[in-house]
Amino acid sequence: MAGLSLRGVTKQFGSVTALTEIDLEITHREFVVIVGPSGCGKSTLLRVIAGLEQLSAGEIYVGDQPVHRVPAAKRGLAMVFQNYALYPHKTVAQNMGFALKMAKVRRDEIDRRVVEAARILQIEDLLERKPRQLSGGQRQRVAIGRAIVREPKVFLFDEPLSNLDAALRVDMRVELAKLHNSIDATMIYVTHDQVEAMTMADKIVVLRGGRAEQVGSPMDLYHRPANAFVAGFIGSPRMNQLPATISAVSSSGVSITAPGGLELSLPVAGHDARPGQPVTLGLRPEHLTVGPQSGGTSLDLDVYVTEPLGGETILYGHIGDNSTLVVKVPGGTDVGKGQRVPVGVVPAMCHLFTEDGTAFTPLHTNDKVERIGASSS
Amino acid sequence: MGERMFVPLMLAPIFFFLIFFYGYPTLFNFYNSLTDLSLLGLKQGGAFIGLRNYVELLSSKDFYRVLWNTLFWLTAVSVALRIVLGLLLALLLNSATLRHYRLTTASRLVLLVPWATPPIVAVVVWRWLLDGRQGVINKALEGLGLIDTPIAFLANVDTIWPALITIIAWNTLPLVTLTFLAGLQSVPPELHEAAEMDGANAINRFFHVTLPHLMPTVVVMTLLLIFWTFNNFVYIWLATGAGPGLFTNVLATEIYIKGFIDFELGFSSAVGMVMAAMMAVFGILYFRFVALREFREIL
Repeated sequence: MAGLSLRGVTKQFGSVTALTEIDLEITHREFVVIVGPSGCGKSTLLRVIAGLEQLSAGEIYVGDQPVHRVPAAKRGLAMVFQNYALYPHKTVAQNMGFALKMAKVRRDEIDRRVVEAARILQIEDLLERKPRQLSGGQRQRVAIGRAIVREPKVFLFDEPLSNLDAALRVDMRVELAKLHNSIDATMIYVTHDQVEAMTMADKIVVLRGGRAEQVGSPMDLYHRPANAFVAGFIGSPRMNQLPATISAVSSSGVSITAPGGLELSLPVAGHDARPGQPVTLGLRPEHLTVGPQSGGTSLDLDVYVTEPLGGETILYGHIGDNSTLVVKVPGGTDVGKGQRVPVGVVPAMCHLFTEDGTAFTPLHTNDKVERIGASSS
Repeated sequence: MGERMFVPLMLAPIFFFLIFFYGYPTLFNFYNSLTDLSLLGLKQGGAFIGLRNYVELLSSKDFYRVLWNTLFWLTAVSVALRIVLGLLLALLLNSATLRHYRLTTASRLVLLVPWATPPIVAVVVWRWLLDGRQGVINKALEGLGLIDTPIAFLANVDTIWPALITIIAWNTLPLVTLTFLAGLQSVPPELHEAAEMDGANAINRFFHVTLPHLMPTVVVMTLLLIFWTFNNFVYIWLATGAGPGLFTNVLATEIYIKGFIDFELGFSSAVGMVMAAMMAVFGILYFRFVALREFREIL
């Protein structure tokens, strides 16, 4: 078992640059999720780590061994493919034992390790079946089993749950988390689903256009997104991003004017900000409250769609000059279509981004943000 | 109209076709094989002689040489050769190297040339190429100093079968190759990647990923080639006329020779029936290994 380190990893396909100078430190036993929209280079990054693609520049270390010139099979990594990639004519046991057979491991040792992996994944009774006789979830387990059997230093997962139906996906998510705890392995997991990223990761890497936009813990990314893209990508429903203008800058924060006559004083570092500068105000739907406000700032929301989900309700409404605002409220809240309701905004929970998307640095500490975040949800 | 009527009605044309164009001629041929019908006596017909034609055929030594020529040289060697060469060519055409140099389309077009050549043209061209006096191949071999005296490839008993098989393979290999190529292209690339991660080298990947994936295609192609080759008349007849003497005589040419050169239509029919019986064996194999599986998938 070992950590993994990427230094300036760059990948070009002809004139197209798929990955630009990715730096990443992954410690032993860490569960790292690489997330981003389609075409962001996340699968390419995984394939470069796996050795299925040669990198154009940069270095990859497993432990303290450079592996970027080492063939895929010798890197000590195992990969679980999106479509499982099971050998269709081999039984489950043969599929799982194939790598060991190639490595000329003794027959009884192969059997022992295959049975052990099958036990962990609860597929012992499937060992003699062929892949086509298995359900999607079972194939997924076999694909994971094939990786476990090799006892790799690092597991690589390429969108492993995307072919499963929603209920099974949630189950497998939990199983994978359990597996990660039980087999003491470093895992790198690629997905486009931010929920998978948030729920499973120790560390998330958000990719866009082949660049790492931000690397951090799920809560880091949620509470302190480095830019408007990360802020919009992490969290569901998406963060509201409203155009705003800076009205004043002081040592205690930045004052802004936003649609709907909203005037806010945000506790962020002003630095280069100047009055009149256009900025983007970020408001998470779950950090907004509906109803008569005891304090703080509020604005009026003209609700045009409600999505009652049972435990919670999502409100879609207009504010001021027809900007759309999404608000998440507890399930019992009595708000109907066409109603105008006051929405409360807590300045400490707001995010502010420059025109190019970079986040303003909050003045308060991380702990305080997490505490407020926890209490409001 | 109920389904009970609809299905037989839809199947009726093909059954009609089979009965009149296969069933009736087969029975008629079988009857002829039991007579001493001669090409010169078609009007008066042949006298019924029972199984005497079959006895004569199966007890003649010539028949077993013809059988050996047909089964071993014409069918087994040429089919095996085409399967192996077709597979190798398909692997080459599918290779990343060829793609890298952007030769994929060009190479496939070149491959189609022999296939688009009618057998008659192919045989005539090859007869010129292989000619003992003026043939390009002899000239080339002499030029390279590999041989001192020209070889009459299509007359020399040592070279005649290899030469015949070369002609057959040249003309029909493209179809085999293209079929295998289509099979190769349907191998999911992530299977190769998974095998690569599992530590399989190129040879292991071929035997553990490519070949198993291609196996159904190989089985079908082998059986089809056997069908097409076993009863083939054109190549042998045009290239050697079953000669020298009857050295390259096969079942198909034997039928022709007996019926239309020796005028023994009754005997010729008996050879035809024996040949049909052997084809039926291949047919049963085809049904057993290919068609039945397809039926099961449909039903």
